[in-house]
Amino acid sequence: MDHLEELESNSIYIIREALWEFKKPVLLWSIGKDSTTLLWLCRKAFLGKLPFPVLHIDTSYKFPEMYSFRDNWAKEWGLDLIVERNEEALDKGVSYETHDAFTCCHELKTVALQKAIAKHGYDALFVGIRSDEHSVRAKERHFSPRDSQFQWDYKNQSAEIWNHHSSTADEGNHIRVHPLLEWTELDIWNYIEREGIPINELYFAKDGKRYRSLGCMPITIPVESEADNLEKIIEELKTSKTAERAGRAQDKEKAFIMQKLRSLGYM
Amino acid sequence: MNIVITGHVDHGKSTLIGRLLFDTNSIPETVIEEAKRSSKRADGSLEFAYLLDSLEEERAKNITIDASRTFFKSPKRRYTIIDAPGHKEFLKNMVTGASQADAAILIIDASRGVEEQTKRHAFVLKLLGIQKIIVAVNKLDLIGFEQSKVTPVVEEIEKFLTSLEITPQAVVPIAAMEGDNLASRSKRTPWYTGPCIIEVLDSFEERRDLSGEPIRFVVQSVLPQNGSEMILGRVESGVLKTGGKLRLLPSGREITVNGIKVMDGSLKEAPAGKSVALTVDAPEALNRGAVLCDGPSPTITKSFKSSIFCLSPNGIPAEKTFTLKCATQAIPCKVKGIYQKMNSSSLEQTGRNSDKLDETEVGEVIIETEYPVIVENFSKIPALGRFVLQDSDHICAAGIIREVSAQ
Repeated sequence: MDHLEELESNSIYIIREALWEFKKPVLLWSIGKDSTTLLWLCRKAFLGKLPFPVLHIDTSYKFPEMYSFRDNWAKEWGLDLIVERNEEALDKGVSYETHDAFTCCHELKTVALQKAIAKHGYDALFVGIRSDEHSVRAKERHFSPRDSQFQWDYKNQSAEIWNHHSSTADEGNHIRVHPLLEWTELDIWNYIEREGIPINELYFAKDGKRYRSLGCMPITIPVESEADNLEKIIEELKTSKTAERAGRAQDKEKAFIMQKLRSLGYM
Repeated sequence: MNIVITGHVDHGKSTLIGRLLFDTNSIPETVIEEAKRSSKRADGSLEFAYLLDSLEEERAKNITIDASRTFFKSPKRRYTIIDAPGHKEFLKNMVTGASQADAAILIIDASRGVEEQTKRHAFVLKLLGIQKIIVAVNKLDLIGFEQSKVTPVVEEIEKFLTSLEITPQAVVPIAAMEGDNLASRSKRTPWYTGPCIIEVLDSFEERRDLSGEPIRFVVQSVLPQNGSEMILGRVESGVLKTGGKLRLLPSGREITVNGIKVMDGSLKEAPAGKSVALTVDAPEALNRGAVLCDGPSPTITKSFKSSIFCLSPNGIPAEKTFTLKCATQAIPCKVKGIYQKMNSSSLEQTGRNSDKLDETEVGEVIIETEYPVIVENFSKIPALGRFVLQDSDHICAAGIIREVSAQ
């Protein structure tokens, strides 16, 4: 087996372990390349048919291209798609025009997710984070518990040895399942190319710019690029000197912001 | 290839990794700028450890709390580097990191010599079955790059490793902060003519391909789909073939593999390491924990001997019920006899025929399971030769089976 086959096989193993262990898992789909790759791996793990729903936390600030991509492929793949928003916060006027990125991310993503979990009673969340996105994510476990307050006890994580973990979802808690921790950004793109995974058009360069990481429209900045197809994106990444999330404003407002967001339950 | 960086606290693990990544152009400039901005150094120069130690608590105290993964490529292959914390309190995090590794670097501060966690980490590597080990004698800049000061440190660690029956692949003198003998050979150590760290890493053989071993397919679960039952699992060794007849353990019943299914069709065969779905002639006979195999049978036993490493602050009391997890098997068990135990750093015996193993101690024990468990020598089929003991909340101990001897 080559490198990508090994990554794929190990991720599928983790996904299947999670299905065995948890009663009500859900896949968190942000419509970006990583969670779409994770969705693809889940489809492969269960031979095309997902035995759990797919959850999109909609901040209402996503790109129109993301909504249409979501709806098209949800239909094509026969997904049980659930869309949840923090309507209360939106009604109160929480918006990028009036609030800082930290507040918006927290209210529109984290709190929206908390509400969705409480409403549906999910005990496990498949999340497509990778170690090389951010040094805080590099310290994550494959199975990572969050308590009822959504806190991540990063100072005292449980041991995870070989394929064994001890995370159980007690009442009110849930487990984040992270099957992509060993994948790099380049691995993801190589795999997308090899597998022919559909991917949002926003990633491809138009008029000299493309998005390298997709988030909320007001705080996501495109990078200069001529890469308008997969081959060119892969070539570009091999020589890139900037970080993948450089275009994501919420990471940079304050020191340790990602750690704070994550410890509060941000994905 | 996965490499874990181990060693005593402050001997320079995070710095070594940070520097290695920096020298191989593996870190985006924006990340380097962030680490520079956060650096507390007066001249604003880069704190290499900050490239990994990203938690606020880590930077405030200049320590590593939890293991992290980073990636780099040498001309030969891609590596995942796992940074293991050096504090005794974070040992479970160290073991978590090391359990994913194919090889290890054991780092020693030349100005301080072998210390408590240096030895403990070496022991952990042995207990986890990691054989490819590089000793890096670090901080040569603090001892003026003098060979005479390195030699005693090398002698001390080699003596200790010999007592553990570990032979390091190389002993490399380095100055991680300055990059000496990491990505290239240093001019400041003319007395050292061996390879630099990356050269040693690149000389390691790839992980052993288990396709040449007998077939072991471990069942994860059975998934009903379109009116038939899919057996989900991974080929841990051997090459599984459509039409093949295999023996189901523990029952011994013969099972025929009718098909190897993947999302977009069927496969004729599946090599070691591949996650697949099988259709078989008697799916009702299979459930999680079962093993399909051919060739010489693994051992099926209710009792076996092993070394275990205790990770639980509550210790491992004899006679207490734990869950033994081996591959996808989960079986209630008890530690019966702890007939020898030792301090995992000093290697001193701390008791014979004891009734409790304490945190960080290593014990020679007999494990008795409530019903039969399928096990094999770790050196032959790793997946069936390594196990953990778990209570209701945590993994409390880990071990590998060197020589199955059913009791």
